[in-house]
Amino acid sequence: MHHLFIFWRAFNVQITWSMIGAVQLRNWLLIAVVVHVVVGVFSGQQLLALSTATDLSAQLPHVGDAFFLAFAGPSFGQSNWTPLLTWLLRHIFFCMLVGSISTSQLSNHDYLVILMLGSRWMWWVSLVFSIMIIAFSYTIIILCATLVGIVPWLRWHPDLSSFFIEQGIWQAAAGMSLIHLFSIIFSLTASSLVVTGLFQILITFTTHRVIWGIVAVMSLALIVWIIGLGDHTARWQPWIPGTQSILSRHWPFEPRMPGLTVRMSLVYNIMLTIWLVLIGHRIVKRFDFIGSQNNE
Amino acid sequence: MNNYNTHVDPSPDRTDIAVAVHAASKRLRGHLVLNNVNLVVHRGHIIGIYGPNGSGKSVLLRVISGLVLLNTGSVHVFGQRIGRDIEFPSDLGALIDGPGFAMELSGRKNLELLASIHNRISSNDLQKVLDLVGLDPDDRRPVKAYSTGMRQRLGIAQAIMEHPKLLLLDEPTSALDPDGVLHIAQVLKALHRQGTTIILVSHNRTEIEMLCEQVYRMQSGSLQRE
Repeated sequence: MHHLFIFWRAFNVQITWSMIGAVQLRNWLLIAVVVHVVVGVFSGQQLLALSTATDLSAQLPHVGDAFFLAFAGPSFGQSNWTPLLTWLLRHIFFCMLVGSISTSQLSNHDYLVILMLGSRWMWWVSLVFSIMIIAFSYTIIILCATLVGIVPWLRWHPDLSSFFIEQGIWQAAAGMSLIHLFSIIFSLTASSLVVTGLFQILITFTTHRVIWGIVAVMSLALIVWIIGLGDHTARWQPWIPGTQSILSRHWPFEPRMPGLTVRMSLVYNIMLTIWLVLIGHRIVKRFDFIGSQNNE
Repeated sequence: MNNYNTHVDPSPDRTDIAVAVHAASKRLRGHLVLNNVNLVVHRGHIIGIYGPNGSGKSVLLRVISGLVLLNTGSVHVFGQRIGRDIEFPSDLGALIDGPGFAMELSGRKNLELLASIHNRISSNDLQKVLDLVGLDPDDRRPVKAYSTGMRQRLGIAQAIMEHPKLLLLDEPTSALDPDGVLHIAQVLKALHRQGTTIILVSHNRTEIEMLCEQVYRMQSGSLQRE
Protein backbone atom coordinates (compact mmCIF):
# COMPACT_ATOMS: atom_id res chain seq x y z
CA MET A 1 0.00 0.00 0.00
CA HIS A 2 2.89 2.32 0.85
CA HIS A 3 4.39 1.74 -2.63
CA LEU A 4 1.02 2.40 -4.19
CA PHE A 5 0.85 5.79 -2.47
CA ILE A 6 4.39 6.63 -3.58
CA PHE A 7 3.52 5.58 -7.13
CA TRP A 8 0.40 7.72 -7.09
CA ARG A 9 2.30 10.78 -5.87
CA ALA A 10 5.15 10.22 -8.34
CA PHE A 11 2.56 9.78 -11.08
CA ASN A 12 1.09 13.16 -10.12
CA VAL A 13 4.54 14.74 -10.32
CA GLN A 14 5.14 13.15 -13.74
CA ILE A 15 1.79 14.37 -15.01
CA THR A 16 2.37 17.85 -13.62
CA TRP A 17 5.79 17.99 -15.24
CA SER A 18 4.46 16.69 -18.54
CA MET A 19 1.66 19.24 -18.46
CA ILE A 20 4.12 22.03 -17.67
CA GLY A 21 6.18 20.79 -20.61
CA ALA A 22 3.07 20.91 -22.79
CA VAL A 23 2.25 24.41 -21.56
CA GLN A 24 5.77 25.47 -22.47
CA LEU A 25 4.85 24.32 -25.96
CA ARG A 26 1.69 26.42 -25.88
CA ASN A 27 2.59 27.99 -29.21
CA TRP A 28 2.41 24.55 -30.85
CA LEU A 29 -0.87 23.84 -29.09
CA LEU A 30 -2.21 27.22 -30.17
CA ILE A 31 -1.20 26.54 -33.78
CA ALA A 32 -2.87 23.10 -33.55
CA VAL A 33 -6.08 24.72 -32.29
CA VAL A 34 -6.01 27.42 -34.99
CA VAL A 35 -5.32 24.85 -37.73
CA HIS A 36 -8.25 22.70 -36.59
CA VAL A 37 -10.59 25.69 -36.40
CA VAL A 38 -9.54 26.53 -39.98
CA VAL A 39 -10.09 22.88 -40.99
CA GLY A 40 -13.57 23.12 -39.45
CA VAL A 41 -14.32 26.34 -41.34
CA PHE A 42 -12.98 24.83 -44.57
CA SER A 43 -15.03 21.64 -44.17
CA GLY A 44 -18.20 23.56 -43.36
CA GLN A 45 -17.79 25.92 -46.30
CA GLN A 46 -16.86 23.08 -48.67
CA LEU A 47 -20.02 21.14 -47.87
CA LEU A 48 -22.15 24.28 -48.05
CA ALA A 49 -20.69 25.14 -51.46
CA LEU A 50 -21.15 21.56 -52.72
CA SER A 51 -24.75 21.35 -51.61
CA THR A 52 -25.52 24.70 -53.23
CA ALA A 53 -23.70 23.83 -56.47
CA THR A 54 -25.28 20.42 -56.91
CA ASP A 55 -28.70 21.68 -55.86
CA LEU A 56 -29.26 18.59 -53.74
CA SER A 57 -30.60 20.73 -51.00
CA ALA A 58 -33.52 18.53 -50.14
CA GLN A 59 -31.60 18.19 -46.92
CA LEU A 60 -28.76 20.60 -46.23
CA PRO A 61 -25.66 19.08 -44.67
CA HIS A 62 -25.42 19.18 -40.90
CA VAL A 63 -22.55 19.95 -38.55
CA GLY A 64 -21.87 16.22 -38.27
CA ASP A 65 -21.30 15.87 -42.03
CA ALA A 66 -18.53 18.47 -42.01
CA PHE A 67 -17.14 16.89 -38.86
CA PHE A 68 -16.97 13.58 -40.70
CA LEU A 69 -15.27 15.27 -43.66
CA ALA A 70 -12.72 16.99 -41.39
CA PHE A 71 -11.64 13.73 -39.77
CA ALA A 72 -12.10 11.34 -42.70
CA GLY A 73 -8.38 11.42 -43.47
CA PRO A 74 -6.72 10.48 -46.77
CA SER A 75 -8.83 7.71 -48.28
CA PHE A 76 -7.45 5.17 -50.76
CA GLY A 77 -6.51 6.52 -54.17
CA GLN A 78 -7.25 10.08 -53.09
CA SER A 79 -4.92 12.73 -54.50
CA ASN A 80 -6.54 15.61 -52.61
CA TRP A 81 -3.96 17.27 -50.37
CA THR A 82 -6.35 18.77 -47.82
CA PRO A 83 -7.30 15.57 -45.94
CA LEU A 84 -3.70 14.42 -46.06
CA LEU A 85 -2.29 17.65 -44.66
CA THR A 86 -4.96 17.81 -41.95
CA TRP A 87 -4.22 14.25 -40.89
CA LEU A 88 -0.46 14.74 -41.12
CA LEU A 89 -0.46 18.04 -39.18
CA ARG A 90 -2.49 16.37 -36.43
CA HIS A 91 0.35 13.88 -36.04
CA ILE A 92 3.10 16.50 -36.28
CA PHE A 93 1.63 18.62 -33.47
CA PHE A 94 1.27 15.57 -31.24
CA CYS A 95 4.79 14.48 -32.16
CA MET A 96 6.10 17.81 -30.90
CA LEU A 97 4.28 17.34 -27.58
CA VAL A 98 5.68 13.83 -27.11
CA GLY A 99 9.09 15.08 -28.23
CA SER A 100 8.90 17.69 -25.48
CA ILE A 101 8.08 15.01 -22.90
CA SER A 102 10.98 12.87 -24.18
CA THR A 103 13.35 15.81 -23.91
CA SER A 104 12.21 16.73 -20.44
CA GLN A 105 12.34 13.14 -19.18
CA LEU A 106 15.68 12.27 -20.72
CA SER A 107 17.55 15.53 -20.50
CA ASN A 108 16.11 17.69 -17.80
CA HIS A 109 14.24 15.76 -15.16
CA ASP A 110 15.95 12.46 -15.92
CA TYR A 111 16.95 11.41 -12.44
CA LEU A 112 14.84 13.56 -10.16
CA VAL A 113 11.66 11.53 -10.18
CA ILE A 114 13.03 8.06 -10.89
CA LEU A 115 15.44 8.17 -7.93
CA MET A 116 12.63 9.17 -5.61
CA LEU A 117 10.32 6.56 -7.12
CA GLY A 118 12.96 3.83 -6.83
CA SER A 119 11.55 1.69 -9.62
CA ARG A 120 12.16 1.74 -13.35
CA TRP A 121 8.88 -0.11 -14.04
CA MET A 122 6.81 2.37 -12.02
CA TRP A 123 8.58 5.26 -13.71
CA TRP A 124 7.78 3.79 -17.13
CA VAL A 125 4.13 3.15 -16.23
CA SER A 126 3.73 6.71 -14.99
CA LEU A 127 5.23 7.94 -18.25
CA VAL A 128 2.81 5.76 -20.26
CA PHE A 129 -0.12 7.24 -18.32
CA SER A 130 1.22 10.74 -18.98
CA ILE A 131 1.28 10.04 -22.73
CA MET A 132 -2.24 8.63 -22.58
CA ILE A 133 -3.60 11.65 -20.74
CA ILE A 134 -1.89 14.02 -23.15
CA ALA A 135 -3.18 12.04 -26.17
CA PHE A 136 -6.75 12.08 -24.83
CA SER A 137 -6.60 15.77 -23.89
CA TYR A 138 -5.05 16.72 -27.23
CA THR A 139 -7.73 14.77 -29.14
CA ILE A 140 -10.57 16.45 -27.24
CA ILE A 141 -9.00 19.87 -27.84
CA ILE A 142 -8.68 19.36 -31.61
CA LEU A 143 -12.16 17.82 -31.91
CA CYS A 144 -13.68 20.80 -30.11
CA ALA A 145 -11.59 23.28 -32.15
CA THR A 146 -12.87 21.68 -35.37
CA LEU A 147 -16.46 21.86 -34.16
CA VAL A 148 -15.98 25.55 -33.34
CA GLY A 149 -14.90 26.12 -36.94
CA ILE A 150 -17.88 24.22 -38.40
CA VAL A 151 -20.74 25.49 -36.26
CA PRO A 152 -21.09 28.98 -37.84
CA TRP A 153 -21.60 27.49 -41.30
CA LEU A 154 -23.91 24.52 -40.91
CA ARG A 155 -27.06 23.65 -39.06
CA TRP A 156 -26.68 21.93 -35.71
CA HIS A 157 -28.42 18.57 -35.67
CA PRO A 158 -27.90 15.49 -33.49
CA ASP A 159 -27.65 13.26 -36.60
CA LEU A 160 -25.75 13.37 -39.88
CA SER A 161 -27.84 14.29 -42.93
CA SER A 162 -28.42 12.28 -46.09
CA PHE A 163 -25.85 14.44 -47.87
CA PHE A 164 -23.26 11.70 -48.34
CA ILE A 165 -25.90 9.33 -49.76
CA GLU A 166 -26.93 11.98 -52.28
CA GLN A 167 -23.25 12.49 -53.16
CA GLY A 168 -22.71 8.74 -53.55
CA ILE A 169 -19.86 8.65 -51.04
CA TRP A 170 -19.48 7.32 -47.51
CA GLN A 171 -23.08 6.19 -47.57
CA ALA A 172 -22.62 4.30 -44.36
CA ALA A 173 -22.24 7.60 -42.57
CA ALA A 174 -25.83 8.58 -43.28
CA GLY A 175 -28.04 8.40 -40.26
CA MET A 176 -25.17 8.27 -37.76
CA SER A 177 -25.62 10.39 -34.70
CA LEU A 178 -23.13 13.14 -34.00
CA ILE A 179 -22.34 11.61 -30.60
CA HIS A 180 -21.65 8.24 -32.22
CA LEU A 181 -19.38 9.85 -34.82
CA PHE A 182 -17.63 11.93 -32.15
CA SER A 183 -16.96 8.84 -30.03
CA ILE A 184 -15.67 6.85 -33.06
CA ILE A 185 -13.32 9.64 -34.13
CA PHE A 186 -12.19 10.26 -30.55
CA SER A 187 -11.44 6.61 -29.85
CA LEU A 188 -9.67 6.00 -33.19
CA THR A 189 -7.60 9.21 -33.01
CA ALA A 190 -6.71 9.02 -29.31
CA SER A 191 -5.79 5.32 -29.37
CA SER A 192 -3.70 5.80 -32.52
CA LEU A 193 -1.93 8.77 -30.96
CA VAL A 194 -1.14 6.71 -27.85
CA VAL A 195 0.42 4.04 -30.08
CA THR A 196 2.47 6.53 -32.12
CA GLY A 197 3.44 8.43 -28.94
CA LEU A 198 4.74 5.26 -27.27
CA PHE A 199 6.50 4.22 -30.47
CA GLN A 200 8.13 7.67 -30.68
CA ILE A 201 9.30 7.69 -27.07
CA LEU A 202 10.72 4.15 -27.37
CA ILE A 203 12.69 5.08 -30.49
CA THR A 204 13.94 8.14 -28.57
CA PHE A 205 14.97 5.96 -25.61
CA THR A 206 16.70 3.45 -27.85
CA THR A 207 18.65 6.03 -29.83
CA HIS A 208 19.06 8.62 -27.03
CA ARG A 209 18.01 11.18 -29.66
CA VAL A 210 14.64 12.97 -29.57
CA ILE A 211 14.86 13.76 -33.28
CA TRP A 212 14.95 10.06 -34.27
CA GLY A 213 11.66 9.46 -32.47
CA ILE A 214 10.04 12.27 -34.43
CA VAL A 215 11.60 11.09 -37.72
CA ALA A 216 10.38 7.50 -37.11
CA VAL A 217 6.77 8.55 -36.47
CA MET A 218 6.71 10.95 -39.41
CA SER A 219 8.17 8.26 -41.68
CA LEU A 220 5.49 5.83 -40.56
CA ALA A 221 2.78 8.41 -41.31
CA LEU A 222 4.24 9.04 -44.77
CA ILE A 223 4.38 5.28 -45.50
CA VAL A 224 0.71 4.96 -44.50
CA TRP A 225 -0.19 7.79 -46.84
CA ILE A 226 2.00 6.71 -49.78
CA ILE A 227 0.78 3.11 -49.84
CA GLY A 228 -2.77 4.43 -49.91
CA LEU A 229 -2.16 6.52 -53.03
CA GLY A 230 -2.89 3.71 -55.46
CA ASP A 231 -6.27 2.09 -55.92
CA HIS A 232 -4.86 -1.30 -55.06
CA THR A 233 -5.53 -2.31 -51.47
CA ALA A 234 -3.46 -5.09 -49.96
CA ARG A 235 -4.42 -7.30 -47.04
CA TRP A 236 -1.52 -6.07 -44.93
CA GLN A 237 -2.34 -2.38 -45.20
CA PRO A 238 -4.67 -2.21 -42.17
CA TRP A 239 -1.88 -3.55 -39.99
CA ILE A 240 0.46 -0.63 -40.46
CA PRO A 241 0.29 1.48 -37.26
CA GLY A 242 -1.27 4.85 -38.03
CA THR A 243 -3.80 3.51 -40.56
CA GLN A 244 -6.20 3.06 -37.66
CA SER A 245 -6.57 6.82 -37.30
CA ILE A 246 -7.90 7.20 -40.88
CA LEU A 247 -11.68 6.93 -40.63
CA SER A 248 -12.29 6.81 -44.39
CA ARG A 249 -10.21 3.64 -44.76
CA HIS A 250 -12.48 1.74 -42.40
CA TRP A 251 -15.30 -0.54 -43.41
CA PRO A 252 -18.11 0.24 -44.24
CA PHE A 253 -16.87 3.68 -45.43
CA GLU A 254 -14.24 1.85 -47.50
CA PRO A 255 -15.95 -1.25 -48.96
CA ARG A 256 -12.59 -2.66 -50.13
CA MET A 257 -11.45 -3.03 -46.53
CA PRO A 258 -13.93 -5.48 -45.01
CA GLY A 259 -11.41 -6.49 -42.34
CA LEU A 260 -10.72 -3.00 -41.05
CA THR A 261 -13.65 -2.16 -38.83
CA VAL A 262 -13.59 0.50 -36.13
CA ARG A 263 -13.82 -2.21 -33.47
CA MET A 264 -10.89 -4.10 -35.01
CA SER A 265 -8.82 -0.93 -35.09
CA LEU A 266 -9.50 -0.25 -31.43
CA VAL A 267 -8.61 -3.81 -30.44
CA TYR A 268 -5.49 -3.60 -32.59
CA ASN A 269 -4.46 -0.28 -31.01
CA ILE A 270 -5.01 -1.67 -27.51
CA MET A 271 -2.92 -4.75 -28.38
CA LEU A 272 -0.19 -2.54 -29.83
CA THR A 273 -0.26 -0.35 -26.72
CA ILE A 274 0.15 -3.38 -24.43
CA TRP A 275 2.94 -4.71 -26.63
CA LEU A 276 4.74 -1.33 -26.67
CA VAL A 277 4.37 -1.01 -22.88
CA LEU A 278 5.99 -4.42 -22.44
CA ILE A 279 8.74 -3.65 -24.98
CA GLY A 280 9.25 -0.34 -23.18
CA HIS A 281 9.58 -2.16 -19.88
CA ARG A 282 12.39 -4.27 -21.33
CA ILE A 283 14.12 -1.18 -22.75
CA VAL A 284 13.74 0.90 -19.58
CA LYS A 285 14.96 -2.00 -17.45
CA ARG A 286 18.36 -1.79 -19.16
CA PHE A 287 18.23 1.91 -20.02
CA ASP A 288 21.13 4.17 -19.10
CA PHE A 289 20.04 7.57 -17.87
CA ILE A 290 23.05 9.46 -19.09
CA GLY A 291 21.72 12.98 -18.81
CA SER A 292 21.43 16.06 -20.96
CA GLN A 293 24.98 15.98 -22.27
CA ASN A 294 24.22 12.82 -24.17
CA ASN A 295 20.61 13.28 -25.18
CA GLU A 296 20.50 16.21 -27.53
CA MET B 1 49.93 8.14 -6.27
CA ASN B 2 49.01 4.48 -6.26
CA ASN B 3 46.62 2.49 -8.34
CA TYR B 4 43.68 1.58 -6.15
CA ASN B 5 42.57 -1.92 -6.98
CA THR B 6 41.79 -3.29 -3.56
CA HIS B 7 39.28 -6.11 -3.71
CA VAL B 8 36.58 -5.48 -1.16
CA ASP B 9 34.04 -7.69 0.42
CA PRO B 10 30.78 -5.90 -0.33
CA SER B 11 28.63 -8.36 1.61
CA PRO B 12 25.68 -6.91 3.49
CA ASP B 13 27.29 -7.64 6.87
CA ARG B 14 29.95 -4.99 6.20
CA THR B 15 27.82 -2.36 7.85
CA ASP B 16 30.70 0.11 7.95
CA ILE B 17 30.74 0.40 4.14
CA ALA B 18 28.38 2.81 2.44
CA VAL B 19 29.47 2.33 -1.16
CA ALA B 20 31.52 -0.46 -2.69
CA VAL B 21 32.30 -0.34 -6.39
CA HIS B 22 34.11 -3.45 -7.61
CA ALA B 23 35.83 -3.88 -11.00
CA ALA B 24 33.30 -1.58 -12.63
CA SER B 25 33.50 -1.10 -16.37
CA LYS B 26 31.07 0.72 -18.60
CA ARG B 27 31.08 1.30 -22.33
CA LEU B 28 28.87 4.04 -23.78
CA ARG B 29 28.57 4.42 -27.55
CA GLY B 30 31.74 2.48 -28.13
CA HIS B 31 33.79 4.42 -25.59
CA LEU B 32 35.08 2.86 -22.41
CA VAL B 33 33.95 5.49 -19.90
CA LEU B 34 34.70 3.44 -16.78
CA ASN B 35 37.67 1.11 -16.81
CA ASN B 36 37.88 -1.42 -13.97
CA VAL B 37 37.00 1.09 -11.28
CA ASN B 38 37.25 0.07 -7.62
CA LEU B 39 36.10 2.29 -4.81
CA VAL B 40 35.17 1.83 -1.17
CA VAL B 41 33.51 4.60 0.79
CA HIS B 42 32.94 4.08 4.48
CA ARG B 43 29.83 5.29 6.22
CA GLY B 44 30.01 8.88 7.31
CA HIS B 45 33.05 9.65 5.18
CA ILE B 46 33.38 12.42 2.66
CA ILE B 47 35.45 11.59 -0.39
CA GLY B 48 36.27 13.62 -3.47
CA ILE B 49 36.94 12.73 -7.07
CA TYR B 50 38.54 15.21 -9.40
CA GLY B 51 39.52 14.98 -13.02
CA PRO B 52 39.12 16.66 -16.38
CA ASN B 53 35.81 16.94 -18.23
CA GLY B 54 34.84 13.68 -19.88
CA SER B 55 36.99 11.55 -17.60
CA GLY B 56 33.98 9.56 -16.34
CA LYS B 57 33.30 11.26 -13.00
CA SER B 58 29.61 11.93 -13.65
CA VAL B 59 29.10 8.45 -15.10
CA LEU B 60 30.56 6.95 -11.92
CA LEU B 61 28.02 8.90 -9.84
CA ARG B 62 25.25 7.73 -12.17
CA VAL B 63 26.47 4.15 -11.75
CA ILE B 64 26.42 4.45 -7.95
CA SER B 65 22.93 5.92 -8.08
CA GLY B 66 21.66 3.11 -10.34
CA LEU B 67 20.91 5.39 -13.29
CA VAL B 68 23.59 3.80 -15.47
CA LEU B 69 24.04 0.03 -15.42
CA LEU B 70 27.46 -1.59 -15.59
CA ASN B 71 28.74 -3.87 -18.34
CA THR B 72 30.94 -5.68 -15.83
CA GLY B 73 31.57 -5.33 -12.12
CA SER B 74 29.26 -4.50 -9.26
CA VAL B 75 28.06 -1.65 -7.08
CA HIS B 76 26.80 -2.14 -3.54
CA VAL B 77 25.19 0.68 -1.62
CA PHE B 78 24.64 0.05 2.09
CA GLY B 79 25.16 -3.65 1.42
CA GLN B 80 22.60 -3.97 -1.36
CA ARG B 81 23.72 -4.70 -4.89
CA ILE B 82 22.42 -2.26 -7.51
CA GLY B 83 20.60 -4.08 -10.31
CA ARG B 84 20.13 -7.27 -8.28
CA ASP B 85 18.85 -6.43 -4.79
CA ILE B 86 17.61 -2.95 -5.61
CA GLU B 87 17.26 -0.75 -8.68
CA PHE B 88 18.14 2.51 -6.92
CA PRO B 89 19.54 3.23 -3.45
CA SER B 90 16.65 4.08 -1.18
CA ASP B 91 18.32 6.75 0.91
CA LEU B 92 20.10 8.81 -1.68
CA GLY B 93 20.34 12.50 -2.50
CA ALA B 94 21.92 13.45 -5.80
CA LEU B 95 22.94 16.45 -7.82
CA ILE B 96 24.32 15.19 -11.11
CA ASP B 97 24.87 17.35 -14.21
CA GLY B 98 22.51 19.95 -12.75
CA PRO B 99 18.89 18.93 -12.21
CA GLY B 100 16.20 20.04 -14.65
CA PHE B 101 13.54 21.74 -12.65
CA ALA B 102 10.21 22.86 -14.04
CA MET B 103 11.19 26.31 -15.26
CA GLU B 104 7.70 27.79 -15.00
CA LEU B 105 7.44 27.04 -11.27
CA SER B 106 9.19 28.69 -8.35
CA GLY B 107 12.08 26.92 -6.66
CA ARG B 108 9.98 26.21 -3.61
CA LYS B 109 7.10 24.86 -5.70
CA ASN B 110 9.54 22.52 -7.48
CA LEU B 111 10.79 21.17 -4.17
CA GLU B 112 7.24 20.85 -2.82
CA LEU B 113 6.30 18.83 -5.88
CA LEU B 114 9.25 16.47 -5.49
CA ALA B 115 8.88 16.22 -1.71
CA SER B 116 5.24 15.21 -2.18
CA ILE B 117 6.41 11.83 -3.56
CA HIS B 118 7.71 10.54 -0.22
CA ASN B 119 5.80 13.00 1.92
CA ARG B 120 8.56 12.78 4.54
CA ILE B 121 9.23 16.46 5.09
CA SER B 122 7.05 19.40 5.98
CA SER B 123 6.73 22.80 4.36
CA ASN B 124 8.69 24.16 7.32
CA ASP B 125 11.54 21.74 6.51
CA LEU B 126 11.58 23.00 2.93
CA GLN B 127 11.79 26.57 4.17
CA LYS B 128 14.76 25.62 6.35
CA VAL B 129 16.61 23.82 3.56
CA LEU B 130 16.13 26.75 1.18
CA ASP B 131 17.44 29.06 3.89
CA LEU B 132 20.35 26.72 4.48
CA VAL B 133 21.56 26.88 0.88
CA GLY B 134 21.12 30.65 0.74
CA LEU B 135 17.86 30.93 -1.19
CA ASP B 136 14.88 33.02 -0.17
CA PRO B 137 12.01 30.59 0.63
CA ASP B 138 9.49 33.31 -0.17
CA ASP B 139 10.93 34.01 -3.63
CA ARG B 140 7.98 33.43 -5.97
CA ARG B 141 9.89 33.97 -9.20
CA PRO B 142 9.94 31.02 -11.61
CA VAL B 143 13.15 29.03 -11.83
CA LYS B 144 13.72 30.37 -15.35
CA ALA B 145 14.34 33.77 -13.73
CA TYR B 146 17.03 32.31 -11.45
CA SER B 147 20.72 32.79 -12.11
CA THR B 148 22.84 29.68 -12.76
CA GLY B 149 24.19 29.91 -9.21
CA MET B 150 20.69 30.06 -7.74
CA ARG B 151 19.67 27.00 -9.76
CA GLN B 152 22.72 25.20 -8.43
CA ARG B 153 21.79 26.09 -4.86
CA LEU B 154 18.28 24.82 -5.56
CA GLY B 155 19.79 21.57 -6.87
CA ILE B 156 21.73 21.18 -3.63
CA ALA B 157 18.58 21.92 -1.64
CA GLN B 158 16.74 19.20 -3.58
CA ALA B 159 19.55 16.72 -2.96
CA ILE B 160 19.70 17.28 0.79
CA MET B 161 16.08 18.08 1.61
CA GLU B 162 15.11 14.55 2.74
CA HIS B 163 18.27 14.12 4.86
CA PRO B 164 19.71 11.24 2.79
CA LYS B 165 22.33 8.91 4.23
CA LEU B 166 24.29 9.08 0.96
CA LEU B 167 24.85 12.28 -0.97
CA LEU B 168 26.26 12.35 -4.51
CA LEU B 169 27.26 15.81 -5.68
CA ASP B 170 28.59 16.57 -9.14
CA GLU B 171 30.26 20.00 -9.40
CA PRO B 172 27.94 21.48 -6.76
CA THR B 173 29.71 24.83 -6.62
CA SER B 174 30.85 25.33 -10.23
CA ALA B 175 28.52 28.30 -10.77
CA LEU B 176 28.92 29.92 -7.36
CA ASP B 177 30.99 32.96 -6.39
CA PRO B 178 33.80 32.49 -3.78
CA ASP B 179 31.44 33.37 -0.90
CA GLY B 180 28.90 30.91 -2.23
CA VAL B 181 31.54 28.18 -2.46
CA LEU B 182 32.52 28.76 1.19
CA HIS B 183 28.89 28.78 2.26
CA ILE B 184 28.11 25.46 0.54
CA ALA B 185 31.37 24.00 1.91
CA GLN B 186 30.12 24.82 5.42
CA VAL B 187 26.79 23.16 4.66
CA LEU B 188 28.55 20.00 3.45
CA LYS B 189 30.82 19.94 6.49
CA ALA B 190 27.78 20.19 8.74
CA LEU B 191 26.10 17.30 6.91
CA HIS B 192 29.32 15.28 7.24
CA ARG B 193 29.37 15.92 10.99
CA GLN B 194 25.80 14.63 11.15
CA GLY B 195 26.95 11.33 9.61
CA THR B 196 26.01 11.76 5.96
CA THR B 197 28.26 9.89 3.53
CA ILE B 198 29.24 12.28 0.75
CA ILE B 199 30.86 11.66 -2.63
CA LEU B 200 31.89 14.93 -4.18
CA VAL B 201 32.97 15.29 -7.80
CA SER B 202 34.68 18.32 -9.21
CA HIS B 203 37.26 19.34 -11.76
CA ASN B 204 38.63 21.67 -9.07
CA ARG B 205 41.24 19.82 -7.02
CA THR B 206 41.57 22.60 -4.42
CA GLU B 207 37.89 22.44 -3.59
CA ILE B 208 38.07 18.67 -3.24
CA GLU B 209 41.14 18.81 -0.99
CA MET B 210 39.53 21.49 1.18
CA LEU B 211 36.55 19.29 2.00
CA CYS B 212 37.42 15.64 1.59
CA GLU B 213 39.10 12.99 3.72
CA GLN B 214 40.11 10.91 0.72
CA VAL B 215 40.91 12.24 -2.72
CA TYR B 216 40.74 10.28 -5.96
CA ARG B 217 41.74 11.25 -9.45
CA MET B 218 39.74 10.16 -12.46
CA GLN B 219 41.50 9.98 -15.79
CA SER B 220 40.12 8.36 -18.96
CA GLY B 221 37.73 6.18 -16.99
CA SER B 222 40.31 4.96 -14.46
CA LEU B 223 40.19 5.89 -10.79
CA GLN B 224 43.33 6.35 -8.74
CA ARG B 225 43.69 7.23 -5.09
CA GLU B 226 46.05 10.04 -4.17
